[in-house]
Amino acid sequence: MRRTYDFLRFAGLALLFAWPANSFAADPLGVNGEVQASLKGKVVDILCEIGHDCAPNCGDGKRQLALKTADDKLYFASKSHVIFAGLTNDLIQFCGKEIIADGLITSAYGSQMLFIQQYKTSETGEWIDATQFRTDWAKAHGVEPDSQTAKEWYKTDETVRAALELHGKLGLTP
Amino acid sequence: MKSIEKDNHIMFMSSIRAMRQRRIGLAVALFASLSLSGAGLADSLNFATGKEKPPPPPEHVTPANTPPADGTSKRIQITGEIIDAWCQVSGIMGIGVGTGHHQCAIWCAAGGGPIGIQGSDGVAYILLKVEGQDPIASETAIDFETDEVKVDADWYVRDGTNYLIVNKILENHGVVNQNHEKYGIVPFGG
Repeated sequence: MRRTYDFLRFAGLALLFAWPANSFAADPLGVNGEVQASLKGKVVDILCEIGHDCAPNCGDGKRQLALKTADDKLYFASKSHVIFAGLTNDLIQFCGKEIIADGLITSAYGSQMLFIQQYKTSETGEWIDATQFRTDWAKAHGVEPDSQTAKEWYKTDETVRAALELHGKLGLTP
Repeated sequence: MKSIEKDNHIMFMSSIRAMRQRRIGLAVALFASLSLSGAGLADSLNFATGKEKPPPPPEHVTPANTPPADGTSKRIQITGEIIDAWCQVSGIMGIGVGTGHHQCAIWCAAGGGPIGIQGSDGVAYILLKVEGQDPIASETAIDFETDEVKVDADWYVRDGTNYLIVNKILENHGVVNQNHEKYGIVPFGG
């Protein structure tokens, strides 16, 4: 029975994060303060926007990014459509450019963030699933993006393995 | 085996199989309805772990310090836990702090997810820089996950989100929030 539960939990998570993004807009997740959102905005480096500490190409993928809409609002772009992965791989190619994003805004503990599920570069453009992290990870590890290894990237990722070997899955190993 | 006994045995085994299939079908339907209706992945994960359900986030939080004026920053010292900010703010895993969420926090940090500090004042602060380092998938940030720290930082508030540029980590108390026995290890259990 435990195996069945484990399978169901994984299958449910995989379904939520791997569901074809063009099947319907902004899949709800029931997260804190959830609001479905379709936003048009420019991809910006948050540190540059608020701290005036700017770097070439929005920090080349090492800095937190946001969508800045026409009304000058910043939407902190935090989560992609790949399980356990952020959005930088998707957005960095659009630094300083405008995109249309479809996803969810979540808010709690005094902060809010944007989960982008799909995006396009023009009103008439094709929706692109926000899964660039998996594509890049697969390329770096010599596997296909749709392979099980890439879908479960966190199980074999060398950074993850090193961190968990160092401090354990509870973080308590000194 | 006699014919009647054999028939009874086949019927018995068939009913057991049917019961198992019904249970699995029910579980699939329950999970699918919870997930796809948006009723809460967190709920289904906690249901699955069989542990205590964590409390929901407070409706309002009040920062310990008076927020900086629009367009400005304020230098503060704050104590809190290094978190995977997406899981904590969204609540998607049920818990986003402590030992029960440490492994998930490592996965998310390695995946380029946002690192934050869950302040002792209840506010989730997003880290934009830590001692001069950019935070995304940074080895330092990954190494600090779940640790309780005291930091000196410049605090910004912009459009409903709290951000910190950490100038210095003043103290690191290690992992303090041990909640895995209470809430289990999320997701997927231990």
